[in-house]
Amino acid sequence: MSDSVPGDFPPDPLLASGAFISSSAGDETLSSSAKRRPIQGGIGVSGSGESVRIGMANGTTDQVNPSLDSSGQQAESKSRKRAAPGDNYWLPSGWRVEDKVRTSGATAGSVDKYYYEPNTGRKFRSRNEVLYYLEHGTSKKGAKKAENTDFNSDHFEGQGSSNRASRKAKEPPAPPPPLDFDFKNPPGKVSWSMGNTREEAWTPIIGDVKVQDSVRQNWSTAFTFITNRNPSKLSL
Amino acid sequence: MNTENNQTATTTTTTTTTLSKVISHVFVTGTAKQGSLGPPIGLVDIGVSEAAYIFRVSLPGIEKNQNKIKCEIQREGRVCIQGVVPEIAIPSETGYLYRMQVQQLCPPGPFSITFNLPGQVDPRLFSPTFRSDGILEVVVVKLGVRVPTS
Repeated sequence: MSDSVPGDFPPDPLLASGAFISSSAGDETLSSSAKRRPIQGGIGVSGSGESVRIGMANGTTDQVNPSLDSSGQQAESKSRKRAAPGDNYWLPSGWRVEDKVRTSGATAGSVDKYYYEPNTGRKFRSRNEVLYYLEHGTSKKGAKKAENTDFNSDHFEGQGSSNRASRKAKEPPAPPPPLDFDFKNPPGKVSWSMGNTREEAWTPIIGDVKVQDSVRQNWSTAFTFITNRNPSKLSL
Repeated sequence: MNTENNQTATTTTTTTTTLSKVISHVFVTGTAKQGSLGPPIGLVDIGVSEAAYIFRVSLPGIEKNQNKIKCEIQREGRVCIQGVVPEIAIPSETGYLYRMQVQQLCPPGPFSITFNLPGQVDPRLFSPTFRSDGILEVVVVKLGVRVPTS
């Protein structure tokens, strides 16, 4: 099962059906790039098997083999299984990328990529999410329901999986008020432009782009919600 | 002309609670700077509640119908209000033209008012009210206000 092409990765034993994590896997020489798969040789951290890599060309020593995995495992689904330094060209500099390997559940072994914004530490689960956020300063409507419900609990594994029934009971049984608003991650700046009349609503603009009415409506709902929950007296 | 200093001086002489001791430096540009005895445009009040900040800015003479005021809020708490002081129409029913001898109100032209709120805010949670008396009153929710789960 090991093709020891220099600079290549040994095939991931977890991807084969019936495979399991072995702590003593691999007797071949592992290059430094293998650190990104610590389960293969006990290298690196235990637990969720994280590896961290700063976005953009920050000089990892990973060797890239963009060709098909010669073992043929799952070769049909993607043309390239392993990530490469040039993969994150779209990500702004300063962003952190984290590859997390699932260590439990039905999907153990798959890798989830998370993108972290500098300064806020905001977490994104896909490139699309990041791009949307960069453009709109907020998150998409449907995608952040998970964030809304788990912001009081820690990150748990396998969020990419839609199978929530097997989730540990950390998540609140019923979602809190149907707010589709990501409180943790506001945009850096919003420009509010007054309407034509005094009574008219102001128009929010982020980065020269007018915020969609539906998004704006979400904000308005969230605002009302917050201010009604906290009816403390104002002090001047 | 040090309108900023006058502004600060005015603020410190008023009786305020300890919360208002956070005297934000208010920075004005444009015609707002040219009012004497402190800018008639650009006086700011800032208040704090548990979940939000409220600020009031005096903007007399700004006829909202005619011009668009823009209020830029940054997450760090910086607020920048931009607008244009309109020309005050000279009543011409008598056909007289007036030459201004006393000009204390801000002359027409663009202006900006910039100041910092005491803490970080969520720029999306913003509720402005441009009152009929020319005071812009805005509530901005603080950053990190937790929504209690069920």
